[in-house]
Amino acid sequence: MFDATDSAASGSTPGVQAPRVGVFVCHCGGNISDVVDVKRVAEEAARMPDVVFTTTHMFHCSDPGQALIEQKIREHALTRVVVAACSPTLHQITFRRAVERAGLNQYLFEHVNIREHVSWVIEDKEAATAKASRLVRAAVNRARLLVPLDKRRIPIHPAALVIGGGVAGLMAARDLGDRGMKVTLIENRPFLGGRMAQLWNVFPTNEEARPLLSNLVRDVVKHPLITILTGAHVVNSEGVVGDFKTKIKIDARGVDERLTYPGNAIAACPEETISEFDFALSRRKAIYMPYPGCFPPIPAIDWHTCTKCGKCVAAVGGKGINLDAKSRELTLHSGVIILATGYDPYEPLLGEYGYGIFPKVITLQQLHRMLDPEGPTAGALPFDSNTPVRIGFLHCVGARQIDGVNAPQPDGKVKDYCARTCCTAAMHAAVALRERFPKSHITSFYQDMRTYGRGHEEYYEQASQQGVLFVRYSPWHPPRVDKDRTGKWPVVVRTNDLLTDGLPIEVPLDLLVLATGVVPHDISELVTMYSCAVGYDSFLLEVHPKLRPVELAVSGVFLAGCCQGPMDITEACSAASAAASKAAAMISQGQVEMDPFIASVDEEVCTGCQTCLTVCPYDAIVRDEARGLAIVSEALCTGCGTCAAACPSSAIQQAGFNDRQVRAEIDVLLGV
Amino acid sequence: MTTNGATSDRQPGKLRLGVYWASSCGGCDISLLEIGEHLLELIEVADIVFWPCVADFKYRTVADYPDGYIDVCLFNGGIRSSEQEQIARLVRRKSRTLVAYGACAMDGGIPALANLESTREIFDAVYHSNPSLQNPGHVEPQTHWATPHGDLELPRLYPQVLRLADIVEVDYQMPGCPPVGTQVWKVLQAVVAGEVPARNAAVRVGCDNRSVCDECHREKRKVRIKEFKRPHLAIPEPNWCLLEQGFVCLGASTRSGCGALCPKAELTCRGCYGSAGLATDQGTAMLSALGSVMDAVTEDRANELVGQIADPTGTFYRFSLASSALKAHRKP
Repeated sequence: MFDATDSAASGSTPGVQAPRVGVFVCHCGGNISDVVDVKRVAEEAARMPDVVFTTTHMFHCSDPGQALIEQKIREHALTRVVVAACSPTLHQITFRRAVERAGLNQYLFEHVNIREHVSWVIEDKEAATAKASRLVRAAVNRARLLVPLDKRRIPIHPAALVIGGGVAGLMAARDLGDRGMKVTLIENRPFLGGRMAQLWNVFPTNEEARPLLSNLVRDVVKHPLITILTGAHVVNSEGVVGDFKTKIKIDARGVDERLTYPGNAIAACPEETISEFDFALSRRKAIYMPYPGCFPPIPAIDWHTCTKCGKCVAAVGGKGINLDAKSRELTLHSGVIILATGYDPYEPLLGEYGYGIFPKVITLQQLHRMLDPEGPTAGALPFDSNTPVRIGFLHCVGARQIDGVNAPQPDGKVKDYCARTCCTAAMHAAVALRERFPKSHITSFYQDMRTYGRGHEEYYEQASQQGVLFVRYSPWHPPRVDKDRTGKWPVVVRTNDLLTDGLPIEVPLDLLVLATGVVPHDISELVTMYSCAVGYDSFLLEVHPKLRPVELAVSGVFLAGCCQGPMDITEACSAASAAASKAAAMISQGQVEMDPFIASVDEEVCTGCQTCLTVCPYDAIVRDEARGLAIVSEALCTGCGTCAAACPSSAIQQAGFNDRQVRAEIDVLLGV
Repeated sequence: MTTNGATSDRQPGKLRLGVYWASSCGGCDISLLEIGEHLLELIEVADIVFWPCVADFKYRTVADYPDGYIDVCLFNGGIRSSEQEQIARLVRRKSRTLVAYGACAMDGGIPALANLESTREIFDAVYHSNPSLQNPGHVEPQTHWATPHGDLELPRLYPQVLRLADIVEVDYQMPGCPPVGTQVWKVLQAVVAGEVPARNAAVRVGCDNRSVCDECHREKRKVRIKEFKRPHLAIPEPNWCLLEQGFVCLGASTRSGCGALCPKAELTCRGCYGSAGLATDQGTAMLSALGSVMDAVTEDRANELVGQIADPTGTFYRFSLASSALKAHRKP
């Protein structure tokens, strides 16, 4: 079972001390020892070759527990340390540091998880002890073969790339700039501002959205350290933390600052298309500006609609418009990346709650555009303020859906998560409508009222006081939106009101507003490029929601705002500031320390089969054509281990996880 | 090849050669004939002192040799029975150099695939449930039998096939099912000249240090595998890597030396030359490689693709189950 030559071999390698293994088994205050007989685990480990010391401790992570490890390393001249305790995500670093303080290389330490993997999941004491013992003995057998390793240090290029020019991206860019960091902000639309620019008024301050946004945009635009690139798409990304090289393509705008009277050019344009900014409530020209105060304050040309007829050029005397402008490519060098790619409002399916069938069924986003004084209707709704107009809000459209009840989305799934912002947004709009139309009757059809944020519940209170009628529907029986048979009303909502014991209720309406959910903006290409973790809801997944809330598992990539999940502006801004602060902290370090677990090719052994080239997700392996060998680029290798696993001749070995070490562990696990 | 003065192992006079056949098909014995006319040269310099396949040697004859009498013994076949273990120990004692010759002695070979079954299941299949069998009395071989002339002791079947190196110390490994003639002759020449590498069970002779891919003329196009095909159900495109075409070719995880015989004949490499490079578990090495180059992003798709591989154990561990981490199927 135990390769007798192993000890001798590692002992004779220069700089590698012969194994003298110490095993420390933690009680975790009873978390482990209530189920696992830790004493027996230690005793059985003691019978393994090269084990010279074993003990148990109530809390090895405590100061005395760590001090004990340090003391025993010195006392017994231990050269390998195995700690059996909780998950390595929790205390691996703690113990590595303890080992290092005792003068031992921190990678001569092996962590065994006998809490999450054993005591918390196994009730049977005998079985749990047997498993813990085997895991520990396997770790010992592996630890015998460990060799000292040095951390890798990668210098960080002192610049940040922020992807996304919405409120989160702007905020992150401003915060980074204010910390003295060089920032490039790229936005793939021709204008900054993202989704916030489309809102009329925002909770919880009842401020108009765009003036608020303009303040932020102004800060960013005039910031000397921030470069803004609009119409910019990420084409390709190479490199790792500290040294990202992002290739971007910048669409031709067709218009530059010399265009002094954009209005003339826009008026001259004969081509029209649906305005995406107004959610199809209006039409815009091929040369367009979404709203008067937009940034950049010059129009852009939509090349799909433009026929290059030249009328705009003629209207402005040829100054500032170039219909033959070409897109260009650029490579941005940055040490860190912040993803602020935002969200899209849920677009109801055709016929979902009458959407797309009844003209008087609109989304909350469309309502915002209509209420906006600069919007398509100049802030007017098609009602007289004195008429007793009937307006309904339907909550949870494209949110909290139930598989089997709601129609699946094109991806085959239902949107089963809470979009978090729409309850408050609907209440905020309801209150505003009540103010503008004092004689209006407003009904809110909801499942659960989730006005959860600070200052949000007040909107619900206010709406209640102002006579908004609440009808609670069951998610298993969503309301039906029909034509009114009498023809008197544009639409009728039928449902069963749970607040009145499920009585059937029929509410005729002049206008039905769908409070739609939040879906992540489609960034599948970026997801592949940066190997982002994606949650079940298709939003990007942070490393840990509490302890590392704005970091992706890919080192050096941070998350800001709605790319991570539904957030209101307040939350998106907090997240953006957090991401900026994490990113700035990383840049300030000047270098990143990385675990030394990188792959290397044994040139004597490599057979040139090229399997690794196919599998490396980071393009860190190249082929030396002359010698027919694979070469790993250390700077690009992230230590994912894919190539080492794939290499059919084991010519690729990963430091810290070489075949002998892994095999030694498996041998004991299998009881070979 | 480095020499380590192994000539001193060699006794004066003609070389004494032994060949033994344990748990294997006999192909290895025949492979020695593949050296063709060189056989005459061999006989010039070597005496055959033990080779039950070609001449009558009693075990007692061998037992009576002084220890170390045989200069080189080429031992083919794995260890499946108590008799084979006994002979392995005997020839080890009598031989200065013991070579695990061929895939079975080295890695268990095809017979080791029976390690997937227990002895009981093997007996059931061979003596009871086999459809072409007539065994009304349900007779099974016994290890003891009392006769009027005395008790007979017959060899016992082991629960699993072991490698020669699991039983005795082996000086060299020589892969192949069977080893190819050119390699056999190279090794014999080296032995005769005394130019053998330092003794080490890990040292393989009669092969090269790269993988079959290295000897294979087929071109890699760095594409992921979209579908697995069985060799008899599709015609491979010539000159294009068989694995990339979806034929489960073990060339990438197999030691070179055979000259890529199979891929050159439009057949997949079956892996008889054992693990390549530093890999110790050929089947796992190939599985990991395959898992990484399949065009499968989702688990469902991966399952679908893997489901297209008939007999995965027999494919990936065809010659090396006894050397693998699996070794044998342990029934609860």
